Amino acid sequence: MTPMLSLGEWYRRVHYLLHRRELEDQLRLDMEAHRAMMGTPARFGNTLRLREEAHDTWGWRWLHDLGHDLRHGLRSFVADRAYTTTAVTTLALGIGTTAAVFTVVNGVLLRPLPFPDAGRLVQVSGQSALAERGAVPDVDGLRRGSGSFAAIAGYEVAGRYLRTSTGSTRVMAVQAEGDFFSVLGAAPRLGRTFTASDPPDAAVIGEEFWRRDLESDPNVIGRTLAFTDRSVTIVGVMPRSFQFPYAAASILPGVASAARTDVWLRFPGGRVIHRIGEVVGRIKADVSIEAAAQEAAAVGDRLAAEAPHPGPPTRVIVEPLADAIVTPPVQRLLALLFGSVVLLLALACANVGTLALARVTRRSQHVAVRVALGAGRGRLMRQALAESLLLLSASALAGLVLAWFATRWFLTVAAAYLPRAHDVALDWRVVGFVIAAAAVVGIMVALIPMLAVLGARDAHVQSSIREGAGRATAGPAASRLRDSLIVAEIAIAFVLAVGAALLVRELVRLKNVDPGVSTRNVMTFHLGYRGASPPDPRQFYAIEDRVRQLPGTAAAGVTQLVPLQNWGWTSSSSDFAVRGRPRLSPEFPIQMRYVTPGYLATLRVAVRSGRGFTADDTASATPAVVINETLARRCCAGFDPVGQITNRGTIVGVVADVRQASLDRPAEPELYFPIAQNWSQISELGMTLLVRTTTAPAGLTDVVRSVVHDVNPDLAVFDVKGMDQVIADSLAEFTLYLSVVTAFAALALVLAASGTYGVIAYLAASRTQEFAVRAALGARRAAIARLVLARGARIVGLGLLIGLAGALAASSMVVGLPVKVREPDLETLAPLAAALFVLAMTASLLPAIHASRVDPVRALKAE
Amino acid sequence: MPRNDGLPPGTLAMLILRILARGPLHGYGIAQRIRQLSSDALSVEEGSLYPALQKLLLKGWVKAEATVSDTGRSVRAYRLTPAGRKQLEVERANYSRMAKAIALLLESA
Repeated sequence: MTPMLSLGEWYRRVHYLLHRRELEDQLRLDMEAHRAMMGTPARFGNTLRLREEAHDTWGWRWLHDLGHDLRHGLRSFVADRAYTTTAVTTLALGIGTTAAVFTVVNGVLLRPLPFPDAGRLVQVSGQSALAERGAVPDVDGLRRGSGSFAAIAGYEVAGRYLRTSTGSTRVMAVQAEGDFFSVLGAAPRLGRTFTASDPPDAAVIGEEFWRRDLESDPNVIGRTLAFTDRSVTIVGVMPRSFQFPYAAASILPGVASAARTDVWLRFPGGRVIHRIGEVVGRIKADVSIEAAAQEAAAVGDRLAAEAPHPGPPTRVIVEPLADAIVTPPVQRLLALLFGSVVLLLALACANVGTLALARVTRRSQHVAVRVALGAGRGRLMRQALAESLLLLSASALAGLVLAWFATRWFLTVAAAYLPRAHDVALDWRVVGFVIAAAAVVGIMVALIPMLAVLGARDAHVQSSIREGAGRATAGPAASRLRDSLIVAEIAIAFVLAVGAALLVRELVRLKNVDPGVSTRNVMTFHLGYRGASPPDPRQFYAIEDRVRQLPGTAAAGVTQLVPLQNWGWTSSSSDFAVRGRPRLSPEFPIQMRYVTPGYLATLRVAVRSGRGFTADDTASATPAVVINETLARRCCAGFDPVGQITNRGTIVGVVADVRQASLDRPAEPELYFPIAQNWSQISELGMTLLVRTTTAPAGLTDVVRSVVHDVNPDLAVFDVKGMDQVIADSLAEFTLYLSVVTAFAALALVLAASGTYGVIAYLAASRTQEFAVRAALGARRAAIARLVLARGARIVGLGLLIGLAGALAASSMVVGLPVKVREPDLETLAPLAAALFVLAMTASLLPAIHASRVDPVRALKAE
Repeated sequence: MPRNDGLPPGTLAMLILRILARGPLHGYGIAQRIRQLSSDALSVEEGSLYPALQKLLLKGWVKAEATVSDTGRSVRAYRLTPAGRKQLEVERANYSRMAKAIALLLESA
């Protein structure tokens, strides 16, 4: 083909391609007319040949050949339906799961943060004994004292409550300094972002909020939002793609899965902020992050030394923003996930490779005949390529669809635990990855067996034709490779199965842990507030009373923190002493629970001695506290705690232990306070109303909402869920690992079983003649079946042995994961090994039965 | 690849262009005309003629159009395009230059 074609020529070529059928017909008609006009018997040879020449002339021969090869491949696949189905399913599963995990890895790890020059963005935080990443003590001082930053902006995630006609609703808000948007380099969709000179009532809103809550109002700029604590004016709308800070899904980490910020606000009252929870900075272009970190640490130390009221020793640390968002444990987890899934893909390849090898060997006679008839190596290769192209397109397509569903499923369960989850999407990288994976897989799966056959052709063509298909086996190296692939498959399947089994056992154990509360028929309603005048504690008592009197309600109570609702904060103190007794050791933390009188009864926390709180424990009454059994053991060994006077109030009762933090940690010492006497201790994070119902009354949520609205319209009701759900959510991360590992293990088991079946069937088939001879010489069927099974048992046994070693070795690797599991023990390993052995042996039973039914006459005749 | 029927490579295309310069003609007519004009010295095989015509079509030097032959058959007639006319001049010039050169070489030996 001419390298440079004129435009006209291209046009004519494509025109030819598009009207090929018609133009070929015309050519044929022309030639028929020619023949007729000649009036002599035609010396025309082959019209087909002429047609091919026409394809040659127009440059479309390759396409024609490819079409031919594809049709041929399609026919041979249809003829070999079992092989095709197995291969496509296996590869689709392999490619699909790998693509799904890659999609997540790509979105979370590989894609750069969606900010201009994101490599220069850093997170600044304070490191102290209390927190690995805490507040920066003096942001203003750092800003003035350090020369490494182009800009620094502090921000804090905080809920806000929007006044509406039907009560108030919660919006996700972030308070930020004026430079916040310019540090990130983010541009608005509408209006503008903050400037340093903006008044404190300027607000920027998110696109989702704008569309959903403000009906996409085109004149939204300048509109006022009335929060319960202040009013702000909208100056801009950020596009949906702008999501920062990432964990701002809720005021409380781990609560909501839909990552979204509704509104960005300025800090009230201007800019003088001493401590800020989160700080983002942009490093100057000529400064390295290491240098900036050193300088910031030095400036931080100097400021701490000069501070008039030094706080706890805190060191300023600077790290790349990407690392702060996607922390090393998450990176490790994703790497581990990706590693396992690549292993799984390798298993799928090994499987299909074995199948393809068996298939090609079966067809080796056909290939040998074609080679003997002069088929070129290139032509055969091209045909093999076309076949694998077909196989892989089907697999990759199915895999991509699978990946889409798998990714969606994964995100619905994992979004709350995964930073940047909303950045996860099928994009060109994923499609490219799938294509690349499919190409690599294709070479492994289709070309290697073909090469093996072609490479052997010179030596084996004749013997292959003479001896027939049955005998043509690959060399000892290939068969060793095949056996070790199966050994590896079984080993990997075993390791994954052990992991899944350990997680299941742990989950079952945790589900049976008594949390110390009765969760059935208990609903939780979070009550949020933020205002110039905080609600009076009596309002919560009023809500509790009115809700308790609703029909179908058995009990109601209010608490600041629901057990096992892990909102990332606790309220604890080590300052507790019984009068006349030595102080408890200072590092002995005691969890503080602020509740209303109905709380203990609502969750049925057993009162062991004394009493719970009553309505008489008012602000003017003697301060009363209730302690749990663990605290009673620690503070009051050898005497009755009830009636003792402490620095926190008089102990009026002892209640049962409750698992507050997590099911797998023992109960901690606890102090309960009536909120009426401790209102000043209550934070701005709101309270939670718990309602125990006799049955499940329809419309409870609406009724509770209206009761709350009646008592105080500025209280927002949100995050309504059953107490059972709260417990389930506390296990969600665990359940997530469980489902992922179980899915992998199930897939690996299927692959191992089908791989074992493929290899054993292939080996049995290649020994048909031998079996026939044995049968002819009087060997019994059972003996032949035993031969096949023994081979399978050896391979599977070896695989299990290696898997066992692998499982023991891997148990040390899971230590770094956020989920704790036990060491694998005999009780877990033995039944699994047995099950896997049975599974693999069942897979080899079919070929064994098949081999035992060999008809000696027919098999020997075939030779 | 087209067989050359004893013609030097590329000559067939030139001959076809030359024939078509007088007016549109169908495939059989082209073969006939070449034989007549060369006094039966040159005969073009159908197996060469049609591939050559395909190439001329591809190059855009001729166009095919539906027509009816003298015997009432519907056939396609090939017509020279302006590009084809230009190409004929190029080929004619090339050919005579080469013919002269070859003649010179043969006579000077």
